[in-house]
Amino acid sequence: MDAALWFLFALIAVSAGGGEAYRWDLPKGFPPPPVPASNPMSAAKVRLGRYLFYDTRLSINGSQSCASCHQQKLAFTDGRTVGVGATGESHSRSAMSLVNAAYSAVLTWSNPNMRSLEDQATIPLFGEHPVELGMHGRERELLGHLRAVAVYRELFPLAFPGTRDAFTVANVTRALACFERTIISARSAYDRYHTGGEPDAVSDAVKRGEAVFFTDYEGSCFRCHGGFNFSDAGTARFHNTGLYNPYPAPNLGMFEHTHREEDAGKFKAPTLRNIALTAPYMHDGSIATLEDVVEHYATGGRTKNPHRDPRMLTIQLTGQNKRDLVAFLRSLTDDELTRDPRFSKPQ
Amino acid sequence: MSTRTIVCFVSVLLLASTALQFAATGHIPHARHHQAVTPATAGPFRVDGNRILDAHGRTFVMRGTQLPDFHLKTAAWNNRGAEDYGAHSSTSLSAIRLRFNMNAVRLPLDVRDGASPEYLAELSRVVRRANDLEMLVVLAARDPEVKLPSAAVLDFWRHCAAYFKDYPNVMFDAFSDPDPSAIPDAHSPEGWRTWSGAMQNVVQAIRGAGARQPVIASSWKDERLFEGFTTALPDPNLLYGVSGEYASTSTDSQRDARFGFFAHRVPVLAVGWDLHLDDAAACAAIPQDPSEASALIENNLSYLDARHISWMVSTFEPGKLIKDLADHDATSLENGWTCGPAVHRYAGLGRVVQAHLRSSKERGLFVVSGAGGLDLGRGGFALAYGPIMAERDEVQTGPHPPAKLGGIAVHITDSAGVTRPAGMLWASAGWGQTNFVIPKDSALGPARMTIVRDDGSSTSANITIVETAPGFITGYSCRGAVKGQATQIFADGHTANSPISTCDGGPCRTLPVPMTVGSVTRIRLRASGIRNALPGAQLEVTVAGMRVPVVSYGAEGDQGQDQVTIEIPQSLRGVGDTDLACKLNGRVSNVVRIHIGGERPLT
Repeated sequence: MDAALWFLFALIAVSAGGGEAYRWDLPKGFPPPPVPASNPMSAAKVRLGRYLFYDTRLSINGSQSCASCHQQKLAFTDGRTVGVGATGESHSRSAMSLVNAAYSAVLTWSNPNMRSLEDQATIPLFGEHPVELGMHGRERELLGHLRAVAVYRELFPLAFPGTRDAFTVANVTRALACFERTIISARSAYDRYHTGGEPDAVSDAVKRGEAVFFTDYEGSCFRCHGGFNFSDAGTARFHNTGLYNPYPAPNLGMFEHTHREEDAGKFKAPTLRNIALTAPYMHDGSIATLEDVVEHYATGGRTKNPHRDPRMLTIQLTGQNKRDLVAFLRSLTDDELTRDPRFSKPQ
Repeated sequence: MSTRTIVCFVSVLLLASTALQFAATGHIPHARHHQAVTPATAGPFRVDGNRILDAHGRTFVMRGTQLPDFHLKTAAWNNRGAEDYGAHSSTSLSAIRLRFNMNAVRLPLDVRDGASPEYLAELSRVVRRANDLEMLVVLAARDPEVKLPSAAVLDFWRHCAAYFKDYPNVMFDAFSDPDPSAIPDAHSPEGWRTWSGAMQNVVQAIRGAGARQPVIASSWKDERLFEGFTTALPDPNLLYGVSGEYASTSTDSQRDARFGFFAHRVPVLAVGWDLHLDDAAACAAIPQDPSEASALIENNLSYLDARHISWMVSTFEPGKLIKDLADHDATSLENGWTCGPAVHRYAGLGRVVQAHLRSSKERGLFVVSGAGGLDLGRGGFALAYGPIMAERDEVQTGPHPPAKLGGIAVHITDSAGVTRPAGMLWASAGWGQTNFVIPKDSALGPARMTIVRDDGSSTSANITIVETAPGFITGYSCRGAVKGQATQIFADGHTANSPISTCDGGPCRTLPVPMTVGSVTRIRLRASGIRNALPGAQLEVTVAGMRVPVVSYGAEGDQGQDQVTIEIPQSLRGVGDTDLACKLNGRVSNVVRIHIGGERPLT
C-alpha cells in the first residue's frame, strides 16, 4: 500500500474521529455498544450531539427538536399516542424511547433494514411521510442556521477536526447518533437488586413478578424482552402480538418492508427499561396502561391474528401474577436517568 | 408445564467434569441454615421423656405429610399407566422422600373398611414401599360415624396392630378425630378423663395385639386441642397428636396454651395441618398477600421445629401439597389464592414446606442429584432449577463440558473452602434449569453452589457433596421410564440390543425388555451418584420388589453419569410395567419404571 493511501485512510479516521477518544462509563453487565467504524465515539461529538438534540433550529418552523418527541422526563418518549410533527401532522406510530438504543440491532418499530442511528436520524429530519421536523430540501438552510451559532462554530470543528468544512448534514447525524448512544439506563431498583447486591432494593411483589416474567408458560416475557436490555431488538426480531386482525394500514409492521404476508403485524419488542414512564403503549399507543398491556398478553392478544407469535398462546397469568408483573415492570424505572445532567438540555 | 418446577431433563449430552481448581476462598459456608437430608427412619422406636429415640438411640423427629385415605379399591390405582402414579405408589413415595426431603407419612385408614387379611396385605404393601424408602408410616384409624373410639375401632386395632407388630417403622395413631361434642365440656377435668379412658382402651387393644411401637393419642378435634389436659396416659410409649383444628393463624402464645405447654414433657406430633384454602371460614384469617401467607406457614414450621415437635403437613394429593400426581410439583401461594372455592387449582403451601425442608428459599435455587435428592455425588451429574437466568438456552455439544454455557458459569465451593468451576451441560434462559457436573475433587460435606452470570449477578444455594448418591436417569423429572439398554445373550453366543425407554412422540415411556426363553437378559441402566462406590459396596437393585443380580457398576465415561448393569431373572418374565430402585450402602435411589416383557412363566 502506498503512502498516499495510508494518508487517505488516516484522514478519514481523523475526520470522523472527533478528537479525544470517548470513555464509556458502562453499568455492570452492559457490554460496550457497537459503534460504526465510520463514526467512532468522541466526547466532542457527544457534546455537539446533545446541543443539536435539543435545538429547535432543526425543524422547519423552529418549533421542534428531537427532544420534542423524546423527552428526558419520559425516558425519551413524548407521552402521546402517536407522534406529532412540527407542522402538526400526526405520525402513525408512537415515539420510541431512545434509552439504550445503542444496543438495538434494528431501529424504528418495524424496519429490518434500519440499522444505524446515523441513518435513522435522517428520517425525522428530512422525512415527508409523515413530516416530522420537515427539513427536506432545506439542508443548506439548516446548516446556515447552525453556522450562525457561536457554540456550533466551536463544537463542529472540535467534533470533526481535520475537515475543511465540518458543517455537513452527515456530521449533524453523526453527532446526534453519538449523543443517543450515550443514553444508557441501568440504575433502576431492579438493577440494584439483581446486579447491585441490594436484596432489599425491591419488594416481594417485584421478586414474584420477576419469576413470572422469566418463566415459560407463565409470563414468558423474557423470550422477547430478554437480556440486560429487556429486548430482543439486539438480534433484530419482530413479533405479531395479535393487536389487530388484520393490522390496519398504514401500520402493517415488517410487511411494509418485506411484503411477506407472514410479516404483517410484526413489530419490534422495545426495551422495557423505564416502561412505566413511556405510556401509552404498543406501536400505535393503543393501550393506555401497563395493567392493560399485561391483560393484553394474558389473553393471548386481543385478536386471533393468524400470524400471532405462538408464544402468545402459552402465557398463563393469574390475577396475582398480573399484579406482580406490573410491580416488576415498574421496578425497571431508572429515576436518575430522567434528571441526569449528561442527557438534559444544555444551558 | 411451568419451568418453575423440577425438570430432571437428562437427554442432553453429559460430559466430563474438568474440574479446575482456581481459587481458594476460605472455609465454607457457615450458612445460617445448612441443607441436610432429613434423617431416615430407623425403628424400632421408643419414647424417652419428650423425645422419640430410634434403634440407635438417636432422637427422631418426624417431618412428613399425610397420604390420601387407603382403601382396597384405591390400592389398584397405583401407577395408573400414563395418567399418574397414584398417591400410594413407590414413585410418589420416592418423591416425598427425595424431593420433599421428608421421613414420614401418615396413612388414614377407615375402620369400616374392615381388617380382612386381604385389606391388611394390600395395606402392608404400601407400608413396605414407604419403609423401603426410609420413611416411617403412621397408621391412623378413623371412624367418622363415632365421636370416641368405638368397639369397631378397638376391633380394627386388634387385627391391624397384630399384623404390623413386627414392623419397626410403623406407629399407630389410635383415633384420628375425638369429637369434643361427646361430652358437655371436653376441656374440663371430666372431659379429659373421658378422653383418657377412651384412648387408653385403644392403647390396650394395640398392646394386647402384641404391638410395642409408639401409639399416638390425638387431642379433641377443636381449636383448643390439649388445653386443660394435665395427666399423661400411663403407657410409656405414647405420642400426643394435635390435628384437625390446628390453626395456622394461631399465635405462639395460643399454641403454647393449646399444646406447646407440654412439648417439653412428652413427644408431640402435629398432623394434617394445612391452610384449608377451600374452607372459607377456616382461611378467612390468612393474609391475602402471598409473601405474608408464606411467612405464616414458615412461622408455624419454625414454632414446631424450635420445640422438636414432629409434624405431618397437608396431604400428598392434588391441590394440597402437590399440583398433581404425575409431576409431583409442589403447590405454591406465589400465584395467588382465593379463600373458598378455588379459582385456580395449584394454590397451596407445598413450595414453602419444600423450601423449608431444603433450607432454601421459596424463589431460590433448588439443587438436586440425578435422583432428585439433596445429596450430590462428587464427580456426578446435578441439576439446579429456579432463577438460572442464562443469556440464552444452550446445551453442551462439544467433547468436554465447558466452564461456561449460555453466559453463565457454576462454581462449587466445597467444605474446604476451595472453589472450582463445574462442567456445564445445559443452561436455560429465565427461570429454568441448569445441568452440571460436581467437580470430582470436591471435598465432601456442606458446600455452596453459585451461578455466576456474565451480567455480573449471581445466585447461590447450599448443597451437600457426598461420595455416593444413587439415582437412575429418566427422560423427565427423575421418575418414570428409566434410560438404558437391554442386551439378550443367546445360547449360541450372539446378542441383541434394544432400548428400554423412549421419549419420542410424546411423554417418555417404557419399552418392553425382551425376555426370550433360553436367553440371558442384561440391562445397562443409566445412573448417577454411583461411580465412587468402592469395590464390594453393598449395591442392591430391585425390580418389582425382587432383588436382581448386579453384574457391574461404575462411571459411564466421564460425563457425570454412571451405569449399573443388572441381570433379569426369568422368573420376572412378563411382569410388565413395574418399579425399579436401588440401595447403595443403605441409601435409596429414586424409584423409576421399567417394563419386563415376554410371556409370564407357567409356574
